[in-house]
Amino acid sequence: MNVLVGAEAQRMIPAKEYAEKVKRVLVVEDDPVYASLLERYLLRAFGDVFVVCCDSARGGMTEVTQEDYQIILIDYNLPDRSGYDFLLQLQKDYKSFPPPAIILTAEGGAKAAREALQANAYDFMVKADVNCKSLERSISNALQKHTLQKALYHRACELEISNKSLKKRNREISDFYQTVSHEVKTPLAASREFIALIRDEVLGPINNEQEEILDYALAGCDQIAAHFNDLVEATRLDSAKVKLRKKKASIDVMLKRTEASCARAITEKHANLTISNECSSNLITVDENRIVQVLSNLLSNAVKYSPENSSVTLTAMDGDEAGVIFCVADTGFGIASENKEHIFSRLYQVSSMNCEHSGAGLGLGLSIARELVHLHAGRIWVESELNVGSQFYVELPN
Amino acid sequence: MQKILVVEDDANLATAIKIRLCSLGYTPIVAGTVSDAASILAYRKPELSIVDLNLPDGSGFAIAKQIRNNPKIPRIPVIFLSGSSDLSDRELARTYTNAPFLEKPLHVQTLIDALAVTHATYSQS
Repeated sequence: MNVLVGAEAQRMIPAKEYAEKVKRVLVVEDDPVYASLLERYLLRAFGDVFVVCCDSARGGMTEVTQEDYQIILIDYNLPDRSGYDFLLQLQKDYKSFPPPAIILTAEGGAKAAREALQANAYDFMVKADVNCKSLERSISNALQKHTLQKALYHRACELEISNKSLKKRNREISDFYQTVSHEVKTPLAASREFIALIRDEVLGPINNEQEEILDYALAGCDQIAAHFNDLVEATRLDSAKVKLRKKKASIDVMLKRTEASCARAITEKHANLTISNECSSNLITVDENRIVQVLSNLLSNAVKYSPENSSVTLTAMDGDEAGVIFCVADTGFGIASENKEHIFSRLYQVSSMNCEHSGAGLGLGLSIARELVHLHAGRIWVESELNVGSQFYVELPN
Repeated sequence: MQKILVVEDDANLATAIKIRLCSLGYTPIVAGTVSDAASILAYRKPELSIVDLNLPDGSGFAIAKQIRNNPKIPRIPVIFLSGSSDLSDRELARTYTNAPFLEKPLHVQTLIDALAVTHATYSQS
């Protein structure tokens, strides 16, 4: 759909043409003498125009919802309700974008003018100043403004529709990844188990070399599964499918669970892990599983990007206002300052790290961690020095 | 609890789990669908079950429901197995069983632990 917006529309349609568009006018006015005066003005200004007069807001509302009007002239003081209330009601109830309305008042005054503005009236006129010319000018301006606003309104509707379809698309992508992940994991589980059966000598003895090679194959299977989990998790976060299940959780338990989830990597790298809880209160309201997921990601990174036999610490300490700060510190390779702000971005990995240290993931881990921390209204950041080590911090409000 | 019903529609994975359970000293009986599982439950009286959530003719939860509700079927423990990492499946699983939830790919130690925990829990009750 082509719509004209702003200056373009103003330039292309002269005021005269707006006047030609006026076919039906609704006058809501309880004074019959003034109503007929308005009708005369309208006929003189717009020629062949059909004027319908209603003497109450209720009657006007019925009329405007049943017929197509180009403009509404409405008295500020009506017997059943004010013109201001009428307009607010109209905007709420009208099926699409309501026609423009001009409020007429006997006294004028700042209050009525302010209310007219608040009710989105297109103009506000004091009855004494209304004549054929001023009415024509006001109506032409109102129609011009209305055309622009209607175009904006339609554009906003279009944007809303495309926004909805994008969200739907996001959900479909997320569902698709979930299905793919599920479909891959079953044959992967079968292959992994066949390898494990040979590796565990269920099907007969193997030698050390064979055992070592099969261990690599098993680690490969686990990596594929982990990648799929990350992919599904990242798209679920994108489509706002992740809902936190917050409740009071023990910091000690979360630290222990984090350690347990990284136990294998810690043993393999002979890392020296020190865990300490320095918090004054052991309880915090979070989604325990999600926070363990975040901390496990940070801890496994710390181990992964450190040489063998390195020290790694996982500490919980008091944050502001009963919150908590977790810190995962390593004495590993560190992160160059130019990379620090990017490491939480999706799919970002420090390339030199990848070459030197195999086993890097899809680059989704830290971005998932950041999303999960943000869902908790928390903060995640890193302090690091190359070849000295990194400290990742997660601050969570209580 | 020697006789274990394994409900898994992927023939390869079912075979792998069967070999593994045999090596651990169990007697596995494999079913590939909800309806096969139902007749095995009724006639072959397994003492424990490992059930995949996604099956061709329904959900693994349907099997758990039969075990819970059908008076002709003994109330044997159910260990769920799934390739989905969706937490809502786990939560739903918890409404049927206290046994651990196994994620694909399966690790032998996790399986051994799950069987041990389930033995301990159900022999107490």
